[in-house]
Order: sequence, then C-alpha cells, then structure tokens
Amino acid sequence: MRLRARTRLHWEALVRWPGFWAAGLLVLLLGTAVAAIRFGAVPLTSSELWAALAHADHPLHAVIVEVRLPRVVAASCVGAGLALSGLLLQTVVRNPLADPGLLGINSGAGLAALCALVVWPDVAGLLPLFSFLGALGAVLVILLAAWGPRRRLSPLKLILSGVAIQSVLFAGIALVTFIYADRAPAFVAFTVGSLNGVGWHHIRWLAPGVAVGFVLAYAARRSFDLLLLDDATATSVGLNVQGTRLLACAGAALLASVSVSAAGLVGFVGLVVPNALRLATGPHHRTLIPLCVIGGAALANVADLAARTAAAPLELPVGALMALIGGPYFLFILWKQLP
Amino acid sequence: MSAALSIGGLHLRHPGTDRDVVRDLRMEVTPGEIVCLVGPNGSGKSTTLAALARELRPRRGAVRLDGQDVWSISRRQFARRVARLPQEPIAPEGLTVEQLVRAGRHAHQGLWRGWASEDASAVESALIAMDLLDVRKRTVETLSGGERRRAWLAMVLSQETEVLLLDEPTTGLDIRHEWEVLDLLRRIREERGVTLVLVLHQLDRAARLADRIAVFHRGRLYLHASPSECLNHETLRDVFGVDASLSGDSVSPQLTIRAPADPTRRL
Repeated sequence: MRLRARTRLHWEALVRWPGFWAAGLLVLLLGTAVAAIRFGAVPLTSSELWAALAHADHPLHAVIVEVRLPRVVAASCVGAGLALSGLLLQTVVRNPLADPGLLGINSGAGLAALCALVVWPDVAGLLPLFSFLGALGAVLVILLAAWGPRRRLSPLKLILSGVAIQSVLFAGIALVTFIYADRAPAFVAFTVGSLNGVGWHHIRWLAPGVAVGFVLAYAARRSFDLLLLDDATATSVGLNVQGTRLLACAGAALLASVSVSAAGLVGFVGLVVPNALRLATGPHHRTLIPLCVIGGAALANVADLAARTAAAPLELPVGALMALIGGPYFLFILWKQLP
Repeated sequence: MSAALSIGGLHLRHPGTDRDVVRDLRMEVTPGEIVCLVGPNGSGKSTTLAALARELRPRRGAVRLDGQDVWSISRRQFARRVARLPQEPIAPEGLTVEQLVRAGRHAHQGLWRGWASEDASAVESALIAMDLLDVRKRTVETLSGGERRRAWLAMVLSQETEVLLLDEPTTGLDIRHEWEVLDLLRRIREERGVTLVLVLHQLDRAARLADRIAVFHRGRLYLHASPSECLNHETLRDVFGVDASLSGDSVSPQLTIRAPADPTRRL
C-alpha cells in the first residue's frame, strides 16, 4: 500500500517536471519526422532511407531532400510558430480559449495573402510580407476595437473583439475565394490549411520568422509571467502592462503570419498545445515557451502524417484534421477548466 | 525607510467617463504614518488609492512622493518605493506561494541584473513575516482565504518599498485572521518604518490601527484627523448615515450602532 502511494507520488512529481515533457515530445517529434520521411508514394525502409540520404545519386535522393525533408521542417516550424503564437495570446487575454485562428489573426494574414495572390499572381515571394502585414493589421484592428471609447484593454474585451474581427475577415476570405472561383483549388487548399507543396523556399523566411518570435518571447518571459496577475498588481510591481501586451500581440502576429503564409489557415494548434502543456507543467513562460516549440512541432508533424496516411493515396488537408481534434478539445476546456 | 505623500488639489476621473469621482482632494501623509481611508461605498477611496499608486493619472492636481510628482518618476523606480495591493488580486492557476512572492522583486531586477542574493533574502524574510514557510510550495488556489491574503501581503512586502497602499486587506477574512493581518501591519510599520495607507470598512478596526483617519464623503475629503476626532457622533451620522458612537480607548475601541440616522435621507 505504502509502496503504491510512493510510486504514485514519484509519478506525480515526474509528470509535473518539464524535462519529462520535453524529452517525451522530442522523442515523438523525431519519431514522426522519421516516419514522415519514410512514408510516401514510394515507402522506404530505414536502411534505404540512410542510403538515399547519403548518396546524392540515389534515385530517391531528390524526393527526400526536396520534398519530404522540407515538408517535415516546414511542419515543425508551422506547429512551433502557431503554438507559440497561441501561448502569447492566451497570456495576453489571460484565458485558455485564445488562438490565432479564433481571434482572427490567421484570417487577417490569409486575407492579405489571398489579395496579394489575386493582384500579383506571379510574385510568390511577396506572400510572407503581405501575410505579416495582414496579421499585424488584424491585431491592430482587434486592439483598437477592444480599446474602444473607454480607452482600456481588458482580456474579455480582447477575446470578444477578436471573435468579431475574425468573422468579418473570414467573410472577406470567402468572398475572394467565391469571386475568383477559377483559381479555387489553390485557394481552397489555403483556406483549409495544407502543407502540400511546401519547399525550402518557404522555409527561408518561415524558420527565421519563428526563430525571431521565439527569441523575443523568451527574452520577455518574466514580463509575460507578470501579465498573468491582475493589471493593478502587475502595474504595482513595476510592469508596463499595456506595453507588454502590445509586445506579446506583435510577437503573436509575427509567429502566426509566417506560419499561415506557408501552410494556410491551420487552426487549433495554438489552442491545444499551450493549454495542454500549461495544465501539465504550470504557468511559467520559462518552461512553456521552449515546450510549446517542441510540442507544436510534434503535433503538426503527427497531424500532417495522419493527413497523408489516413486516406492514402488521397491527401487530406492538415487544417481540417486539426480542427477535428481542436473542436472537441475546446469543449474539454469549456467543461473542465472554466468555472 | 519611509516617505511622505502629499496630495494637492486632486481631481480624479475614470477614463471614458465624464464625472469626477474625487474632487479637490488635499491631504498630507507623513513618513511612517498609518492612515486609514474610510467612507461609504463609492465615496472615492479606492480611486484615490489608484492615483496614489500611479495607476490613474489625475485630471488635475498631483500626488507627490517626498516632493516629487509621482508621474515624473520612472515606473520601475516608483515600484521600488511604493507597493499597492488591490482589492481582489488574481493569481494564475498553478502558481506557488513562493513564485508569487518572487513577483514582488520584479522592479529590483533589470534587463541584465538577474535574480540576486538580496532578492532571495527579501523573499525569505517576507515569507517568514507572513508565516508562510509551511505552505511556500503550495499553489495559491489551494490556500485558505487567510493564507491567500497573507501570500499577497508577502508579495508586496518582498517589494521592500517605503510606502504600502492596501485596499481592504482584511475583507473576507474571519475575525481571527483579520486580527492577525491588522496586527502584522502594525508590526511591519514598527519593524520597517513604512508609510501605510489603507482602505478599511470596519471603523473600529480603523480606529485601533490608524494614526489618522481620512473620512471620504461623496468624492471629497470630509475630515482628516485622529480617530477620536474623526469618528464622532456627527461624522457617523452625516457621512455614514447611522446613529452610532465610538467608545472605549484607542487599544480597544468599540463602535455601537443604534439605528440608521434618517432612513429617508440619501447618502
């Protein structure tokens, strides 16, 4: 009896330990990454994989290096970016129900990117820039709407203003997709979110964007911790509350926009990952920020692998799959975590 | 380690509204003094505290800390000198007592200066002062009401400021814990010499604790004097609307309320 009690105690201490989660998620990430590279139209065994990687003249070398590897790297960056973005937003609104998709930031990035595609169909290089501007614009409109005539930000006002802006922006996306129905396939893939066709040219700005967001967030981790207290207390201990909120919003916009311009509108990664990790290890940004990077990357790879294998050879959109997981998780938060 | 507060001609208004909640407030708080702000609900006590805490910018007038306008002091510098505990502070789920108390050291740390030994000793002595050593690893939401109050008080104590501003620090506590908290405040003043400004609703507790009492009435300072001068029959009738009197000495004052003074009169 006593032994069992002691084992349970050790187990509880272990699952509260961030290192346990970091190690577990890292194993999951690496495992899925290897599986994702092996799986495809031509499946590979492990030994074939190493052979194909090592020899540039191997018939499958190009497929692995130019198609499968960048897809895994892109999925990791997108997952990490969305999870970090969601973490920052959840901190800003002091509520677990925040996500760049739900608050309209993804839609802002998406609408701007779609408009750019309509006006300059050939200039793919402008896409990340436009989606960043779109995300930033969406964040500014959300902040202004929440600021309102009373000139004061509050978490609840931010959430509601985000939901309102999201519906308007998504209507814009639907309209553009409808009017330019002739280009529908590409646009539809974008709207549901898909990693089909990502290459190294996406990663050229995706990876630095996520890296900058990560460094920014990690540098401000202590301020973000204080943001979780009420405004009056946070002000009293010397925090610039509104300034820190703005910084977190800008970081969330950057992270979401680079992710969206590579993978389209993938939702719920930013909701599920930070929320689950906070439940597991507590509210500290020092551990949550790195954990969200690993966890987001792992979840995105798992979802993408599932999207590719579930109905093979047909490939499902990863965004739709995430929404299938995310919607029920949203209800789980609603039932279990809100009073 | 104490500082004087001087409030001159203060007009306060919540942003986005068009009515002054506090009008033409003038008041001096001397170093090391305990001042209790009392008054009916909505008389402007908490708003005044927010202005003293450099959170609400006055529409007119100024709050001076040792002669210096509080808005001319940097945010961080101010947080090292003045701490404020709001009425209902919020801590995120999963935060332990020790981590909460460490938050009080934020203003003492810089971009380059991390956690130092004086931060650790400030946290340690705040935990000891509030008798929280046994629960330091517990999360805040699992504490009882009294322990939670003490945890928050420990957080503002670890800030090691010259002035403490407390908004109803004993609300929601049972009489034993209320007694303990008020006792602790007196001890903090004796040991650290801080200046204390607090909002209290229980007049007899205010009379026992305070050096001077500031009575607020409809956004104005009605009286600012010693407890016995303040809480006389006329003030209790005109400000609080009760037929009551304060008796007993300064160690155990007693408030006897007989009836509402004039039930038809609006406060």
